[in-house]
Amino acid sequence: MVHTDMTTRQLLLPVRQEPKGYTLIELLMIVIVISVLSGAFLSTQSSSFVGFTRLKLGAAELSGAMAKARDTAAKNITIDTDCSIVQTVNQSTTNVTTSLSPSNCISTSLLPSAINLRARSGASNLTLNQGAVFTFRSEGMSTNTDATVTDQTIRLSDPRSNIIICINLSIPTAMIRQGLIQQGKTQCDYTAK
Amino acid sequence: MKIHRRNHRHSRLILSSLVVRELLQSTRPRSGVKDRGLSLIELLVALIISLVLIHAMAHIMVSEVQLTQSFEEHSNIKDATIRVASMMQKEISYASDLSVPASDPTSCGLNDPLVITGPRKMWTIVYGFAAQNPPSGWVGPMTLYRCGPPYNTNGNLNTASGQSVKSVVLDKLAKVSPWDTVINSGDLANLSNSLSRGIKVQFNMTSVRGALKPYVFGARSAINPLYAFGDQVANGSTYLTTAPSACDDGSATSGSTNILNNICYQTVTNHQIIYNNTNQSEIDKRQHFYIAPNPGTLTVVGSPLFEDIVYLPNLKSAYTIQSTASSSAQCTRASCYVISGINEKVYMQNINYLVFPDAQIGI
Repeated sequence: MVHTDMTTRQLLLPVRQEPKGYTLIELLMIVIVISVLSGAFLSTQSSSFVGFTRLKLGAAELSGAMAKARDTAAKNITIDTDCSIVQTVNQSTTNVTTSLSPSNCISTSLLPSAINLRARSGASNLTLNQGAVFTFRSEGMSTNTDATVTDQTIRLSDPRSNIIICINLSIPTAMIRQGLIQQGKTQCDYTAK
Repeated sequence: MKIHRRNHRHSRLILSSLVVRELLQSTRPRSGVKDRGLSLIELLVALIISLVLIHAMAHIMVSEVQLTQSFEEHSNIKDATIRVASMMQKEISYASDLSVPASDPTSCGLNDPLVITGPRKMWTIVYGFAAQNPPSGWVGPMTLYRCGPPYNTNGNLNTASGQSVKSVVLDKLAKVSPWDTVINSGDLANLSNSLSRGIKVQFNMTSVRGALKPYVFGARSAINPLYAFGDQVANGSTYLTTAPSACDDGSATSGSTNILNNICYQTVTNHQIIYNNTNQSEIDKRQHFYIAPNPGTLTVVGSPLFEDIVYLPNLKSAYTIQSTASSSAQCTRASCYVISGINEKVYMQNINYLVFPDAQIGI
């Protein structure tokens, strides 16, 4: 009993310390300082980053809608029938709507739903350089009212991003490609990763 | 009993004090042990371990993303390849002639060309590679071009005013041997290219991760003579809507004996064709030559204006097919000679089709 009391008291006595390394408090302080500094740095970059991210989402939505229309045409339109899926991209509203030509040549329930690129991407200031009408027919091929056209391109931009995204549809094989226009450039680069 | 109970209480007290000591030792330095904190070395070791772990995790995540991208890329390549193959198969099925000449005979100027010629030469489509590869905006290393009439929105070829459009139809073909086009391979190898209507096409694709499994498809132009009017145009003739009567545009002889009426008869059908972008009714005349078993030596001359079809009695493997009796050169429309044993030797001119019981060859 006596032995136990002595041991406990001995343990509770203040211990003489000689701190030589970093304490947990010091480390936490360093982490906090680094976090504050990096946060301040990122805040200057975030606007552009978020803008480009939203733009990429918008581009993904548009190319996804095009691919869906193309695949619907490939699966549901009989070869050599006069039927095509017409996808319209409205420049001002950024609405992407899909219809049939002639109407009801296949069931309209098969068509992709209408989407709004701004709403879907969250980029409320997303703009398109032009509207477009994409036409998909049997076997997933694409055509254009001007038979000599070999491809169609839409450029998506956002005021917060200095990069522009291009969506390109090749005619007649309906390849959908995504490219970028870097700052200071004018041509779409479809080889950029 | 009392003593025992007191001893028990005493031992419980000792136990609890030991627990307290252990707890205190775990949170505070032991008596006499310095509170060192973390030294720089310890921090660096911890940092290195953390970096290694983070690197490993990042590597796994990047690999996962790359795998997804690679899968998506392969899927897109496959989709595009299937669409192009489908388009080519359809165009070839409408064709009256296929060829893979050494150089592009059209103004398209494509290399390694495959030339698809439509009925009556109403259209010509060339697939091949441009001199500059990849063209601007394409990944390459090689891109396949299509040069020919474009498609209308209703899916029909637009042959109006003979306009020809050149466009890239397939990207990411291999730099070396981007495609292989083989006409009448295998047992038909002794026939010249211009005779055959069957083709095997192999796309050799590539991706950022290297070569992909080749995509191979076969296509055949319509053996049905409805689509094959090569003779009329090839011989400089014009589109005809009236048919001569009887099997009298060619000849068939056995020695010096005229056997035309014995082995030949005509069929005349009326069908719709698209000519000059308009739907027209055409009288289609064909001459059918039936070769009897063991007929001896025959000479069959078809009409340069209409379809001439020779029906042979034996399986194709029973025949040697060559240019003339004395020349083993390739059989051509101008001169074709088939031999089966000693009792069947048929020399032919201006014949469009050879029909065996097991095979048909468009010439």
